[in-house]
Amino acid sequence: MKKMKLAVCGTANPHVRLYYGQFATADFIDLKAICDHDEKRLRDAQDFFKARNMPVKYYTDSNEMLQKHPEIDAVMVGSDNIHHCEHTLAVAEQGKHVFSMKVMSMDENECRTMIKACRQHKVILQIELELHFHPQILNLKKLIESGRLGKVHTMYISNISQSPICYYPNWGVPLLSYGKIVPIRPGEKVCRGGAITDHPHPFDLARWLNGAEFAKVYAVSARNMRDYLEVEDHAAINAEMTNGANVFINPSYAHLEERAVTRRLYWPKSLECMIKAVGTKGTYITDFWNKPHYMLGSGLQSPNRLLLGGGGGCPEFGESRLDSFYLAVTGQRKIESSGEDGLAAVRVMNAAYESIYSNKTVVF
Amino acid sequence: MSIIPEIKTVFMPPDDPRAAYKLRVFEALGMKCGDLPENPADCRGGLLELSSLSAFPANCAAMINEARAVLVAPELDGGIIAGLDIKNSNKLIPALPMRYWGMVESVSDFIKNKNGGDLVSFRIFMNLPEGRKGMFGDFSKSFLPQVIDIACLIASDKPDKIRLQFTPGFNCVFGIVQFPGNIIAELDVNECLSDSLEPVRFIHAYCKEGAISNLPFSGYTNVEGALLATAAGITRPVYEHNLWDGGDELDNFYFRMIYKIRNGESLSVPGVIYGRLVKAIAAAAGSGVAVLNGGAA
Repeated sequence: MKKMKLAVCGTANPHVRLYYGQFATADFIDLKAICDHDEKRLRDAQDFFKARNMPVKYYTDSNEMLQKHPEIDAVMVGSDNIHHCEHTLAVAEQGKHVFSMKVMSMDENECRTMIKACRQHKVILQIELELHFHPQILNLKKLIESGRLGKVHTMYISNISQSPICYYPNWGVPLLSYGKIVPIRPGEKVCRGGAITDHPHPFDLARWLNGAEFAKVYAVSARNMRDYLEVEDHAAINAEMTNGANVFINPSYAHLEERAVTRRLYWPKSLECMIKAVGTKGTYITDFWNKPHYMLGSGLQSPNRLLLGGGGGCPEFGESRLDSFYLAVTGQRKIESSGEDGLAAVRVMNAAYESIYSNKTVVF
Repeated sequence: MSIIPEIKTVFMPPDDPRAAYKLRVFEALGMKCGDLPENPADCRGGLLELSSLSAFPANCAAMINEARAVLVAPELDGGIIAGLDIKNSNKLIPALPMRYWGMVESVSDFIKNKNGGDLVSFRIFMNLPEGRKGMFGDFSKSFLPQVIDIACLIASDKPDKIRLQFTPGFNCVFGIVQFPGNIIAELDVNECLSDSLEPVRFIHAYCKEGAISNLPFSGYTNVEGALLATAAGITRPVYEHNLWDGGDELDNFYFRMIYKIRNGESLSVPGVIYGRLVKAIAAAAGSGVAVLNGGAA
């Protein structure tokens, strides 16, 4: 297997470090370089890969990295959302494929510019909308397509997490996440750029699973659970799809995090990614973060306290994030979650923000 | 302990559509039940169960005045009650059984006692299988209003705005209820679940310093976190294959073994240990004791 030579442009997105282990072990990736203007984050990456004797080069300037590594095939863009467009354009101009963390940008024009640039330079643009690969959700898509559930008329989708902002402060800066300062409602201190911006999955899944677009969106945002946050930590969206399906979406930081120095994703139910699809012939319910068993152990992340475990999956090669990207880059698979998919989700997310601001339904 | 004596008798119209169920309740609580009496004085100290009535019998004011408590339909036109000569209208209790759901009480107590700080938002899931359609009365006139009623109880406030989105052709609604102080309630209410499913009835309330929920961590879906229900039954699909209907988790064992073997991931267990186990157990069947040395068992 010919390895994909990869560079990482920015590690501001907390998901980037989830890939570090795969960079070290996957037999289809050859990690060449990492850049980040933030020295602490760059040092964290250095510590990780040096400990594994990996000859990775480190840069604080993305242009310097791209110039010094003409050999790379692809770049993971993991900077703050506000820098995604600038970095994606620079990478595409060099003829390198792009694997972008979500969201690609909350500025829809920037999204269009990125899509256009990648087309012009004939490179792949894949957005990290990883729930496409979760087997439980993939099964639901196949069930719907097979007609097994009949006509799916109602769908509830939640994407509830803890707030990542205690541990990744950049994640709570509205300018970095949303790209500009817009109050959630007229005259309010809380701004756009939090729970909705951080959770594009339900918006993407509603389209992907229903095979339809959003027709109308009504959204609200409760007062924040955390008074210190500058961005919203709550939202609820009710939408009508073009196929008539009634969809409810909850993208929130409603699960409280532990007051721990290091982020723990184990608090009884740290995440909820639930889909309840009701059709005329059947009902399918799944929660990727279902916790069907408990455990207690000194070797766990929170030693010797009762934890709930479970979830996960066992996708085959090509049915996960980076390996699907690898297959797309090498022409062996179609792109999963393209730039167009990313833009479609962003459009609905912005409509939700607009609805919260105006307290009115947004019609597409 | 209450110092008020228990109500021992119930009077109910004979044509109450849920009479059979209600009689079982009265019997379990040791309450005698009879038809509405001709003499209102017979109602003295009892419970008048009039919740199935949309209009009252002629002598109902006299009966109400004698009774200790009167259960009335919550949607009853206030004008009907106002037109009656009732001495104490406090004894009229709207029949809203959902208010007495233990989870509503627990959530309300949690909030009232500030166990998790101030309320921010909450979600109510109340989904019935199609076969249990109507168990809370008419969907729009009784079931849905009761869910909104418990939302108001939990928020301890009247809503600023209620937005309901019906799925055309189905008893199926998503709702957003906005309360003062920007407290939000999400409602997911329907009578559309497949008949093999238990009703889905969860409340999940989020406060500034805590949360309360009966959304199960365990036991709802299988270890893969999925369930598929049709009218015929429930299956809990394995995540390796969406077309495999294995029934329950036990029926999935063989499927997963073959799947793993197919993919070259089978577990290699020395047969000698298993063989020794079988022999030891066979010996135990005769002697009542099995001992297996050497750390094999």
